[in-house]
Amino acid sequence: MIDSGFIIKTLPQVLSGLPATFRLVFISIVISTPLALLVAIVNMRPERIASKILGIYISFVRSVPVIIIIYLFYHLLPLLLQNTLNSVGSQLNIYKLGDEFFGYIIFTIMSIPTLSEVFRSGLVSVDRLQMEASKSIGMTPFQAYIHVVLPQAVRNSLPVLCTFVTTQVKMSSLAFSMSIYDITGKAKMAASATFDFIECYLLIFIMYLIINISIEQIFKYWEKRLKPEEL
Amino acid sequence: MKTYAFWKIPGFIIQIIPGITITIEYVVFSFIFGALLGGLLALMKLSGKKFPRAIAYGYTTVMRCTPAIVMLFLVYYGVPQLVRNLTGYKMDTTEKIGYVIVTLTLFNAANLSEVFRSSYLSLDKTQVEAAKSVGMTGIQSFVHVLFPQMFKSMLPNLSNTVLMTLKNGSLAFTIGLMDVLGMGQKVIGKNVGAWVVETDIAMIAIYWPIALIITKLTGVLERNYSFEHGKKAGGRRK
Repeated sequence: MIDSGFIIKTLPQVLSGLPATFRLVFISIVISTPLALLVAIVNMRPERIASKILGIYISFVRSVPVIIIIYLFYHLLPLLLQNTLNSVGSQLNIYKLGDEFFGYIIFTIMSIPTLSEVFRSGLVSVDRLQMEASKSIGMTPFQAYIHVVLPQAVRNSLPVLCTFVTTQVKMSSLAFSMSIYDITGKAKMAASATFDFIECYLLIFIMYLIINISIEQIFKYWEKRLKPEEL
Repeated sequence: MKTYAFWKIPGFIIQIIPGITITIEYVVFSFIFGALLGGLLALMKLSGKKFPRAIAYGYTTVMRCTPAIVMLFLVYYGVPQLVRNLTGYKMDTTEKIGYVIVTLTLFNAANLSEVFRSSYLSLDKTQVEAAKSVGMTGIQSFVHVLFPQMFKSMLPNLSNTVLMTLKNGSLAFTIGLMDVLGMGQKVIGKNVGAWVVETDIAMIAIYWPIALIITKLTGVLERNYSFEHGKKAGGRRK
C-alpha cells in the first residue's frame, strides 16, 4: 500500500532540505530578536506616534496570510533594494544574493510582530517593584534591566517563546513559494517527479513532528533549569 | 524606477471578489465542525481517564507541530490514495473545498479544545454546586451558569482562531481551490505575471479589512457581553 522502499530512497533528498529550514528559522530569529525588543519597548507606551505606526505594521502582518506577504515582498524587495543601491551609486547586483537572502529578510519582517508581543508580555510580567528595588540599591535603570528584569522576563516568556519557535518552523514550510528548497520544497519536488505523494508528505509530516517535539522538549528542559521550584 | 500600475488595483479587486464566498464558506464550516470536534476533545482532556486524555493531548500536539500546508497535502493527496488502495473506490478530488474544510477542521479542533479547556478550568466551580442546590441538573447548570462565563473569556481566543483559519485556509490555492488567493493566482496568470505586486496589493486589500472587521466585531461583542458576575457569595469581589 505505502511504498516504504520509496520512503528510504527519498529520505536523503528530503533531508538535504533540512539545513535550509534551520538556516531560515535560526537566522530570522537571530536578526528579529533585537528589532522585536525595540518594538516591544516602543509599544510599552501606546500613545506614542511611533507605536501607532508600528501598530499598523503589526496589524498588517497579523491579518494578511503569510503567502501573500511572501509573494508581495519577494517581488517588491529586490526591485526596491536595487533602485536604492543604484541611486547611491553602488554596483552591487541584488539578484546575485540569491533567494535565501530575501527569505531571511521576509521571515524577519514576519516574525517581528509576534516576537515583540512575546517580549512585551515577558517584560510586563516582571513586577515593577523589582525595578524600584534595584534603583533603591543604586543600580542605574540599564543595570537593573540587564541583571534583574531581563532574566526574569526571559524565564516568564519561555512557554510563549516555545510556541513562537514552532510557529516559525511551520512558517518556514511556505518558503518553497520563494524557491527556497527546504524540507517542504524538496518533498514537493520529489513528489511531483514520481507521483508518490503520500510517501513524500508523510515523510515531511514525521520530520516536522520530530523537529517541533524536540523544540518543545528543549524548551521544557530550559524551563525546568530556570524554574526548579515550579517543575 | 518601475512605476506600479496602482490604477489597476480596483479592477483586480473586482476580479478577485468572487473568491470571497468560498473563503467565508470554509472558514465558517471549519469553525463549526472544529468547535464540535474540539468540544469532544476538551471533554476527553478534562475527564480524568488516562486513555482519552492521552489521545486528546497527543492529537493536539501533532496538530500543533504540523505545518498547515503539509497537513493539507496529506489530506488532499493522501486520503484519496489511501482509500483507493484499501477499497478501490476513486474519491472525487474535483470538489476541493471538502478537503480544505477537513484540514482546517482538524486544526481548529486542536486549537479550540485548548481554548475550551482553559476557559472551563478558569471558572469557579462552586457555582455549579450552588446551581444544583437550587435544583438545576448538571446540563442546566452548564448551559445557564458556566457557558455564558466561558463564552466571554473565550472571545479573544475565538477571534484568534478565526484569523488563523483565514491564514491557514489561504494555502488552499496550492491544491487549486478558487478562494481569494486562488482567484488572485488566476488573475496573475491571466496577466502572465506582469502585475504580481498590484494583484498582491489587491488581495491584501481584501484580507486586511476582513481581519479588521473580525477584530472590531469581537471587541464589540466583548463589551456588550460583559456583565457583573464578580461577586461571590458573601460579598467578596472576584
